[in-house]
Amino acid sequence: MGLVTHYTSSGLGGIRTTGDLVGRVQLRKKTKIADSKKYVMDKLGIGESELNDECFMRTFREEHGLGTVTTIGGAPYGIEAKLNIEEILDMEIACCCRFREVTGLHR
Amino acid sequence: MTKDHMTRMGDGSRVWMSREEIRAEVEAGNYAAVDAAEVPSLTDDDMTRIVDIMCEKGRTVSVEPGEEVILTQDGGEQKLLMDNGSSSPALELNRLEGIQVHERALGMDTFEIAYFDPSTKQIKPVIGLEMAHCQNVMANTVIPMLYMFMPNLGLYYQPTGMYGNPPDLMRDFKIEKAMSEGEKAADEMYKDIVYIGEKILSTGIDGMDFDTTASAGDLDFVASLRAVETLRESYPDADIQMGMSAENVLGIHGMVEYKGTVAAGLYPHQQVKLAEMAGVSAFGPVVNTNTSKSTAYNVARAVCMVKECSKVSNIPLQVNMGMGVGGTPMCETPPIDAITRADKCMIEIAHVDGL
Amino acid sequence: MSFENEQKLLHDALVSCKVPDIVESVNTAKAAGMSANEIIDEFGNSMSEVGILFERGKLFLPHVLSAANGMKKAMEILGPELMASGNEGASKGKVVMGTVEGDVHDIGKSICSTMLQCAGFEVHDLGRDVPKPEFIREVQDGCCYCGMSALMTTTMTVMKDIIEMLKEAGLRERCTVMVGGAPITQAYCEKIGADVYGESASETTRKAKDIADGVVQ
Repeated sequence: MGLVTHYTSSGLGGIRTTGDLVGRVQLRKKTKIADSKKYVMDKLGIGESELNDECFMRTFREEHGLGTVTTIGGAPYGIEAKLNIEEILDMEIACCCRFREVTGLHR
Repeated sequence: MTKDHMTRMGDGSRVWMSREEIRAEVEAGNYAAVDAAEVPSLTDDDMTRIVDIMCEKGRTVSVEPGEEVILTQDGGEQKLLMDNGSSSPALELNRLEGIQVHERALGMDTFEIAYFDPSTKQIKPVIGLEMAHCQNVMANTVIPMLYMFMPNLGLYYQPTGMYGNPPDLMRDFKIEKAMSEGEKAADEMYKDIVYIGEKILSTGIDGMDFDTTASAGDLDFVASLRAVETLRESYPDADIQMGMSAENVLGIHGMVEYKGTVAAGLYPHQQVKLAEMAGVSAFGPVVNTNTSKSTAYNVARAVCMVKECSKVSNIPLQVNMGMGVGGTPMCETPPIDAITRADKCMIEIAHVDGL
Repeated sequence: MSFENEQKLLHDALVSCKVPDIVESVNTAKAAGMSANEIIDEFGNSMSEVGILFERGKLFLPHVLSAANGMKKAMEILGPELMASGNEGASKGKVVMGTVEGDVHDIGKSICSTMLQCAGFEVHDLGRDVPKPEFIREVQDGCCYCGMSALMTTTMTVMKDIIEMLKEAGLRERCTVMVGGAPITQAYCEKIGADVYGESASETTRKAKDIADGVVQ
């Protein structure tokens, strides 16, 4: 798969690290890569070297319930993790908004 | 001159070149981009850097830590299963499983859900199924999800569609008829895109990706831009990507405009400005690989065009880097030495924000 | 006798894609003493340039067709002279063109058909998703070029089937097989035993013209 090659050459790592968070900011705020990374660093309170650090981010994601690659029984996943991501990034996520709308729950 | 560097041709076949030969290929590729797209030349340092990367001895190369960019995938879960465009691994997975493999095993930063026949016209009849699929995926995944589809105006023309086929009409010198049939087809496609877009975005998906935009030329491009604009009004926060199908917009109509700019003949650095005006969140330029030229030539040509696109763009660029585009060889199993070198050059020199 | 000025006039008129200018340039060139064949040769070269300019986004399809229409009018003017010289501006050959069975992509193939037509070939464009036997029937009926297009890796293999069918029918030597489309490469062309690979519509047309003109075998 070419995707594995792209990932090892230049990908940020998705939920192994902060790739999904930076990607989310980039698309929502239409910001270029440096500004998107900075936003995530500021909101998460982490340094640049930690953005791509799988070991550090595994723990960080677990502690903040942001979803992890490997299973942790009972830990937030799917939309549960995204509700936490909304909080930490201070940014609404469409499916979470819909979830609240259709269930009558409030943020 | 010792031919001691293994590199590739645009069809993926191996070729051995000296550093001087690679330099000459890079210069030729750069010149070809400048000549075709009328963009500024790469600097001497840029070209030396490409040569250095092409000549690195490792099997693969990579960017330095901290320089990583967003990795997305515009083929959807079907890349693992089966699709209506290319051969594939044909894994016996369901669609959700295919997506979860991309999220959990392949390190994707964002992802694009896709129907197995992802053209606008083909999605419309199964929109309810696709909406349910999107809801299911959104409940079970973490990374940002976009719904990928191809505008594909070609399917609105005869024999698969009801409108006259412009290139066929033109061969009979019915130029005005060809233009008016194209315009009517484009209006129909615009309405269909807005229809499926509003339905899909209502599911709570993060956004949509217009993939292989302008595959049927300038009318295809303009109808897609108009659809982005309309969807943006209803969904101001949606993530709307637009990826192109080729490096320049073919002038099948020739006179159609978007906000005062003739769409035909535009290259990436010009296309992106229209995408910005329409409200696109991230733009995916394409530069075609010439299979008869070397990877050094193709990479330099692609980087030269995309560098200017990146320079003028106010929105992030997620450049198309795959089989037959972005300097990557045109073959079903693109070699990892060529892919990684093309990636590194594109990120370091063209300063793109994602692949 | 040199006709540099007239050649430039013919070239510029054709590349301008304006029918009245093309017609006027033909009349001027004729009046200066250029033969019909010399005028046609000049237009042939200029038409190739029009094709390349289209692919590079500098001209659009209506321009290409307008230039071709201008050439058509020019042929009407030159017709009597060509007939008198025994060269009636015969077509460069019959070409069957089509996107192979299972594949509905036809924009690239249609553009290629248009350029071949502009270059003087008689084009039988069968459209998209063309059943294999239709290519064979066209070759049987006199097409000496068989152009096949595929945009998908799953359909490109059909090209090989058609080549085998041509062999079985004893028609392979009777035609030049041309292949093109996004996943096709020179190596694939050679692998399946086709004769011509076209990276683009203009390259395909140039190669077909070279064969028709006897420049290459």
